[in-house]
Amino acid sequence: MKTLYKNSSIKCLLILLLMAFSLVSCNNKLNETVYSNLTAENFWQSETDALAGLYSTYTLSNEFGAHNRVFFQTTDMITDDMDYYYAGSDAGLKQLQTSSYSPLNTYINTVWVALYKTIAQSNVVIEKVPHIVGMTAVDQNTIIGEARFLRALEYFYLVQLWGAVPLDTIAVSNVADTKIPKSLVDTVYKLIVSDLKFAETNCADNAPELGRATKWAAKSLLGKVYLTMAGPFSNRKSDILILAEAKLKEVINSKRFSLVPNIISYFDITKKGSSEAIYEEWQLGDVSPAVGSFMHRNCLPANISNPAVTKLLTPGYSSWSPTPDLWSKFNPKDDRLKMYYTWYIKRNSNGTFNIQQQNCPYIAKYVDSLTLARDAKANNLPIIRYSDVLLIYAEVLNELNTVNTEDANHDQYYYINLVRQRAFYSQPTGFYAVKTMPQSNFRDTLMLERRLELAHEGQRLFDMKRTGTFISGMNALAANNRALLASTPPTFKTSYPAGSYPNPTGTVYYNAGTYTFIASYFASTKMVGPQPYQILYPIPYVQLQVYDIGQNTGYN
Amino acid sequence: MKWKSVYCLKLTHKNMKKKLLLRMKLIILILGLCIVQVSASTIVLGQNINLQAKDKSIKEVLTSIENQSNYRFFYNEAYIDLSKVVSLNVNEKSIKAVLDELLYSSKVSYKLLENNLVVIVPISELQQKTITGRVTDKNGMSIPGVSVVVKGTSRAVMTDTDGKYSIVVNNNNVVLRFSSIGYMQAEHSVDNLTVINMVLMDDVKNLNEVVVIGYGSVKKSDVTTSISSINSKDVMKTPIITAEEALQGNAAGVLVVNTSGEPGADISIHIRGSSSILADNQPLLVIDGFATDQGLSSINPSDIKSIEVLKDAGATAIYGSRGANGVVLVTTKSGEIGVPRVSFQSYYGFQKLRRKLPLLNGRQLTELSNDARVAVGKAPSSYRLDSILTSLDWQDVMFRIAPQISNTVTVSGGDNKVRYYVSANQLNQEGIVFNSNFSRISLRSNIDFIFSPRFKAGVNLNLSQAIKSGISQGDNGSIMGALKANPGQGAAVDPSGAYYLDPDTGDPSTISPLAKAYLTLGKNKTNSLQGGAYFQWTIGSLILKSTGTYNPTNQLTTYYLPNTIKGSKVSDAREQSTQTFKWSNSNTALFSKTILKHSFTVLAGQEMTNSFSNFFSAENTDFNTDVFTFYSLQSGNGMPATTSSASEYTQLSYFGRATYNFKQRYLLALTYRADGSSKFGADNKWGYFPAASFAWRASEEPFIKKMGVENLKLRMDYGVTGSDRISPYSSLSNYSSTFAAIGGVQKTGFMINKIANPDLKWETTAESDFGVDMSLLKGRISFSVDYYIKNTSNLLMNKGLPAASGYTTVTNNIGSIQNKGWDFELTTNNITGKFTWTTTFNAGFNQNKVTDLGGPTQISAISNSSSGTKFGDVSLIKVGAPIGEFWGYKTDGIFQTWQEVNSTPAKMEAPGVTQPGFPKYVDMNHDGVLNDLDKVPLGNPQPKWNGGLTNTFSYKNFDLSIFITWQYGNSILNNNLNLLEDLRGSNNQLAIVLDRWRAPNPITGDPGNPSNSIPVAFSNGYTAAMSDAYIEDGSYLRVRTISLAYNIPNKIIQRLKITGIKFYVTGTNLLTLTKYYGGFDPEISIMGINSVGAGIDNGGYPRSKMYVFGVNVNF
Repeated sequence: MKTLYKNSSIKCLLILLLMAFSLVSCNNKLNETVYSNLTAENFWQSETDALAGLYSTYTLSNEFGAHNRVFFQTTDMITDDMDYYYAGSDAGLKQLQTSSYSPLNTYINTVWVALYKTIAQSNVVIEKVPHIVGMTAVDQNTIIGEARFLRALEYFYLVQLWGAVPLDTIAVSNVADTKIPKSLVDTVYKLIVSDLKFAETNCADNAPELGRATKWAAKSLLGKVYLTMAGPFSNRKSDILILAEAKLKEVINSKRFSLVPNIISYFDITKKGSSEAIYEEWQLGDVSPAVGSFMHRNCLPANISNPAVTKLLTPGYSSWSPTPDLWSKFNPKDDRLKMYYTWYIKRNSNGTFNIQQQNCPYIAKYVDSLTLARDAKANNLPIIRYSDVLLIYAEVLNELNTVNTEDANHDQYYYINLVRQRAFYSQPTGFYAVKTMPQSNFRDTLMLERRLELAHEGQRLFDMKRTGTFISGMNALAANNRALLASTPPTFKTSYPAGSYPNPTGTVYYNAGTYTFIASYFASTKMVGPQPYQILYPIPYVQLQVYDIGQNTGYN
Repeated sequence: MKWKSVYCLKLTHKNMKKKLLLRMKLIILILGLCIVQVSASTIVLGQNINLQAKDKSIKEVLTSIENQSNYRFFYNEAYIDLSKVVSLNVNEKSIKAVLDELLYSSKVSYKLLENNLVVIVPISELQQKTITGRVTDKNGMSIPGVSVVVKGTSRAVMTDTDGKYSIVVNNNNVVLRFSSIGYMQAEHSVDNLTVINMVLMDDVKNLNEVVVIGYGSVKKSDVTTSISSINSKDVMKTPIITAEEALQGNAAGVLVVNTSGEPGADISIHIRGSSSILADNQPLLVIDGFATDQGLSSINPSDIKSIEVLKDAGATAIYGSRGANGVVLVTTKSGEIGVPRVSFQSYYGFQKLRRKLPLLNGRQLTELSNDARVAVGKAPSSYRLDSILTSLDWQDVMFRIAPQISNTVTVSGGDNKVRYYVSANQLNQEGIVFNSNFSRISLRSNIDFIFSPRFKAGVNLNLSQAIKSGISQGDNGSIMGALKANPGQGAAVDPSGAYYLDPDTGDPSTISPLAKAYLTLGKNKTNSLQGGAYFQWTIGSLILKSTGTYNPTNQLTTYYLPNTIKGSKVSDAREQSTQTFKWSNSNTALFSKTILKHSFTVLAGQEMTNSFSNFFSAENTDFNTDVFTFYSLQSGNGMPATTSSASEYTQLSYFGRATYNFKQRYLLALTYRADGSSKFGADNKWGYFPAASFAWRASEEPFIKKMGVENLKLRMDYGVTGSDRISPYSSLSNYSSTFAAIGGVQKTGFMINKIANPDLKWETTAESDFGVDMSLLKGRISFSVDYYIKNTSNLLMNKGLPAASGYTTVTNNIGSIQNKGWDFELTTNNITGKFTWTTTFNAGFNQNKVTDLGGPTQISAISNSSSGTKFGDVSLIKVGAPIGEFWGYKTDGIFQTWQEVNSTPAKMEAPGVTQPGFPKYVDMNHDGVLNDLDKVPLGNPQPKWNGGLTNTFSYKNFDLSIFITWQYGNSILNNNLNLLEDLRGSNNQLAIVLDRWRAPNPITGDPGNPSNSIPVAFSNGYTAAMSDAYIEDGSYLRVRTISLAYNIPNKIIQRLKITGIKFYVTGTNLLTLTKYYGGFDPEISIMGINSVGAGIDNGGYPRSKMYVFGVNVNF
């Protein structure tokens, strides 16, 4: 008996020892092994890593652009250019359409977040790339230049939409550094200008790869930034206009860019990267939704019932259509009318045709009928294209009210007419802007031309803000809409030209006809104009909740 | 002392038939242990034999005797004496004489059993005598499974199915102790008796019932904390699919909600409210001591012996970091000593839709549609009133009567060496909607080995396959599809029997809800093995136990949307696999000692858990043919996408518990646990969770005893528990991969994704509980009451960061939540005797309140994107309010006149659109506009109280039980109304819209209808805005089960050689009292089991009524 107990105690001891040992040896098991993620510590080792970091900056910048509807919802949709048929069913969208948004609007927050995500990623690239061993300084600076171009682009959006905003310029890596106070508008512009100056020096002359920014993109954007910094029509600072003039002239004089002869080919996905493209958010068709454009479906009606076209055209989101106001501004002979818009016709069982849904034209700029995948279309979103540069150059010249020192013929009329000439390609005479109109008339002509030429490219809101016409213009539109709705019947009739749209079995052609905007859908979306304080968006409520940087004036 | 545990049987015989018989008898002998029928003195062994043996072992001699006679010997080969070499020379002597001579000098002797069987045993055992008897209840019914113990020893047997037992005692001076759950323990001294029949009285107090607690068990009378026990009878009282359902209405303070009526749907369990925001609030589930993350759907409910719900921190702190939401301990059945017992349980049930929603018929919808169009200046609908000949109720098409079948076979038994419980179950529940189904096959094997009184080991295995086929729910789901479908249109199938895609036109762009349910394939198959083994070693008062578990699970989710469903080339196929490998090891040492009136136990233990899982997903779209479904993803023309990831977490723990009781009167328990989790920040891996509980059994004090109170116990405890239910790697920063369209191809990029938080630590809950247990009137009434306060702090939450930093959230410890409330449990034996009536009642009252959010006063709980609603944020997490409180506009009836419209500045619709008949929203801050600032709290998705009431009646062989559950004071966000009461006329509506507002029409003489609740029909639709119009009262009282059982009388079954047959018929959900109108059932939580997002209905799968017929047979 005694020996047995002894035996047991030894075993017992052994077990306890084993237990204790297993614990000691397990303690380091509480350190986590990461299997499917990278961290700041194991990344940034090589040029491949530097490029991977840069690529994702481009991807992030698409989130306020070609990849997220919110770009159009928070820019074009709040202007006199675009309506969204279904906005009524979504409280947040409806607020945007009717100028009744509050700081709680989630779409506004989405934009804020998307812009800063790109900025934060570019900050990391800017901070980390210089430390990568084995890269030349030139290669490093090309990448940093592009990151700074994207950072400038996003800050340019931020400062125009919100005014004074937090200026995040470091790679934040701990929670304590996440609280960043607001900087003055001037300080933000200073960063934008310095970023773009770095970019115009260091970015490549020709894009190293399709989709990457060049020094010319930086110069063009810088020209536009200067023009915006110069202030509204009522108070334009000529010293800054001169800077804009010089920068834009640099782009034009480089002769690297020219207008494509027919505007529709600019949006032809087989002819992307034309001589007119300066910087675009590049998209790939049929690869994956991650790198394809979402815009196609937003330009289609929700229910196309004709089975023959379902493959290409179903289902759309029925999101966007031009306002009756924009539509009425097109000259019926303007080629852009046919090229920018289309109608979808349903073939009824009795052989007749019906216009689909809301009886409105649909935007054709971004319809890609060649790509099969519904959510991975190839349409690029132009951020800055040559006709845009020509038109802002014309604007600068008109504002400076000086003759072009190098060639007196190359005045503002010359540049605006380059654009108009192409718009009336099929009837090339008689549609030019007439010289010697007063400066203010030219302003109106130019603003309209930009509106028509750059329709649905996310430019209108910034044009109106830059020139100080947003509040007055939108209130004028609201007054018109109220009058329209009061008329009997409250509809807006117009005619449409013959046209076509593609489908897999061949192109569908339709004859000219008339159609009716139903005012209660469209005009009613903008019955009330924005208040003066709505020149800026409210700082999103959730942002103030986590760190109160102070709300913009007028919002509570 | 050391002895071989296995008898090595040595048998030789000429006649093989006899040998087989013999072997069976031997087995029975072993099973029964020492059922010695004949004493040595009465031995016959009369046959004479001749035998010559020289230098042979005793064993060899015995073999020779077997060869010459009809006698068989059996013995343990390990007896040294049998190898002794002897020499014998006998002529025509009786076997008895030979044996006497042969075994003369050895320490073994022999006994003759029936059938010429002779057992050789040590002489010491021959001085023993055998006591037999039968144990019955007060009605004379035999009680199987009673443990009969020779007091003071470890010798024990169990009664068999007839209540009979047989036990060997060493002398006359011992006492037998009889005990069984549900009966009062009894003792009887042996003296000169050889037959002791015992009658056990019902234990109404159940105080000796053993209650399973963390890492051990205690007598109910010694419990110092708040625990609810549910026995197997209660588990099986409703035909349930998974054991979680057994908690509903059976335990106070436990709120169980089926997230939908779909077969295999998740079940949400909240014990004493919700204490977490980011993490789910499900309790820790522990099956036979092994924690599981996978829920209980792999377990066959009839394998369950008991379920214990540990509710307060005093009880759960031993589970430390995982105990904050309560702990549910499931104990499965194990074998009991006795002959193999086979039982067969089978039921067949059919389910049908519990309630149809009242919808418009074809004509009524057309009228509404016309009204709606005229209201916006359009021509009346293309559907002409006179063309509506038929009216199809799509609910009749969509729902079917669906069978549910379950068959279980169990075999259990054992002896004092091995005990086993083996069961197999097959269950199939068809859903009341096509293509929805849940089926399970499970096999359980629980085996315990008793090597000696000191060494024990066991293996528990549960193998299961559960397959769930689901249909789509929500706005675009099949259920909503059936409700929306136009009743005036078409039919479900064409003359050939094929499903119409669109019943109107055959147009594939809109599909019939039936086709959608029928053609979409969605399947979720889970294979799991839960295996555990333990080894237990008793050294005096010390018990060492080591357990190990291994739990691999493979979950395969497949989905196919065929081309036929939406016209050409949009087929979509997906296959996802999640494999989880989890193991754990725990080692405990338990020391117990009683010195005079002081009893101590000390438990110390250590545990380690590791879980590794990897995920793989592949998908493709656009298949040329529907033949492959999801079996050939490479055949699609779309863009194949693959994803994979892996994660791992480890937890390391030390824990201990010390209990002390003095005179069975003053009970004290202290527990402590230290948990290290890999999920937390480098400096905060460890969390420490202490608890103390104290109980005073006042009824043991003489002065209280005199007052006639049999049992009165006052309890109080305080403890700290935690939660680590966040995903691994939450404290680390990471980069995520992304794609970029650069260079004309897709390139991979990496970007910052998450900011590190090395400070991340445990969420902690501190809970105090005060309880009273009491029983009166000889156990006729027993009740317990608990009051608790639970404060959860350092909430694991995704704290918002200023987005200007590039990060929007960080997982952090902020804020706090309080839950406080009362739990009541009451059992009364109203009538006893031949007719018995027992009532059990329980109820839990809980108040949940967010007390701090670390800065912000409110954050969004459920927003637009996740809820399927179109309203933006619908519920909030707000300081001072319960989690997930609904939030929106207040309505104030309907605009009746133009005057009213014009005098109200704040209107939801654009100016010029609002007209009489439109809903009126309240501008709470009177600023003339309606925006988020005008939104107010609209209701609490959590009930004020919930409970259950069971009445059981029994008379002779009939048992009747009626089980009622209820929930009171909760609100439901009925998002169905967003479509079914939208008044646009484009889809079917609830019948309530017949009462819509209508303007008087002087031309037709229609006086109009000045409704103040349903707006005017308006085909452009109203702005979707979250308001009180969508909030409904979710209170209900439900007769969950009525069950009538008939036990075939003993006289009959004994003739059939069967020990019991029970037939029963059960109806579930036969009656539900509720005001909930616009949805099928108030028991709904379409967003799943999280507390954030509870109580939302959105085209959820309806619950069914079920009638079940079943039989249980015990052989």
